[in-house]
Amino acid sequence: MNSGTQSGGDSDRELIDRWMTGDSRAATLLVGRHADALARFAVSSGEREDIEELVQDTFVRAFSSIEAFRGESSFRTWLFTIERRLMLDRRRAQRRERATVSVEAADAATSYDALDGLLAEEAESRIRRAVDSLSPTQREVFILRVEQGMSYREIATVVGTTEGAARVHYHNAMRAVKESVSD
Amino acid sequence: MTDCVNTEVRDALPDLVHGRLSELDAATMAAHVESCADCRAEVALLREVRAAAPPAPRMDAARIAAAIPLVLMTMPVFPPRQRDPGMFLWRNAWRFAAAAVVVAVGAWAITGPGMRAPADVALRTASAPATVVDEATPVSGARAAVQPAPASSAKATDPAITGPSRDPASLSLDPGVQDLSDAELEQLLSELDGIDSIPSADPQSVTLSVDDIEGGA
Repeated sequence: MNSGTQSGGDSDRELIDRWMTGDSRAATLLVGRHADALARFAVSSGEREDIEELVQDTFVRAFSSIEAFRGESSFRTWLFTIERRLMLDRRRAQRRERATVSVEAADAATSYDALDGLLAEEAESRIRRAVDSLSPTQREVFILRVEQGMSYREIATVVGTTEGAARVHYHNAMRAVKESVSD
Repeated sequence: MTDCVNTEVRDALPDLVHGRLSELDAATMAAHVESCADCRAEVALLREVRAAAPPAPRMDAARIAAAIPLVLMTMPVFPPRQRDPGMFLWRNAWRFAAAAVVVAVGAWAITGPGMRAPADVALRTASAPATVVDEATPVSGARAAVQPAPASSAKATDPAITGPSRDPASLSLDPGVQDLSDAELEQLLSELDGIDSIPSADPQSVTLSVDDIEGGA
């Protein structure tokens, strides 16, 4: 997990301060540091379209309300929190458009179809199905813990829950994935 | 696949996979994993999950950064304003003046000559009975019968009944009368006694005999 400081570079906080004094290059450095992780989280969470647009919106929102960033969490955690809200907004909008079953289930079904053709190995496909079949909260917590390597405290901040609840969600998710893979 | 009974170790397995542990903790964990089949299987699964993560498109950092509004990038940072006590008083002088005018006007409106003091009403109702025109009494010429109102009707404090209010000082004597000497006042009173057209303020006494009553019946 990126703690906000790159080896040999400025910390996120220093880059934010530089950006606030008019250094546009600092914003580019911050985007380059976190954009790929945000894209991975979006894809793993079921987003399939307009990933760069989503990441871009995340950064625009973050820089627009940079005064609200008090440094209580890392900048990356704050970005993930914003991106997650944007994804929820997207899903609500899609739900209104489709007016059918829940977006999570629809996305999972779509991802199964796409993955069956794309993934070469059956083991990977099974794991993906297992992760996709988790409840939305379990999947978010599991992805943030396993794929992003976040601590329970950081996950609690992103998901908007307690550290203990995040831990419970993770272990339930791990148990479900193990059972699904073992079948 | 079963779970290791050491939940603390299981909690930290993702950190081991991501290399987020200190050297000491990583060595301790590695030793445990080496000897625990459940943890070895779980670490292998964690690595598979990471590897099976769907591929994400590469982000163009420069393009994303370019989308951040330029106005935000040139946002000036203003230092906090320092308050100078002298300038504060000077800049707000007009406010103080306006407040003083409002207070003065309000006080004048309350105590000014156009306002009737409550004490005035009390004085009128208690000292002199109000006079009312008896509409049932026939009018003789231009003169209407004026009689004192009963005490019960004197409780009315309606301006229509009591007439225009006046200053308590002017109730007893007009300003012109106050300037008269004693001799002039005596002369004025004697002249007033000589005028017949002024009705008496006192009710006339009526004496009725029993014969008058029976005869009338």
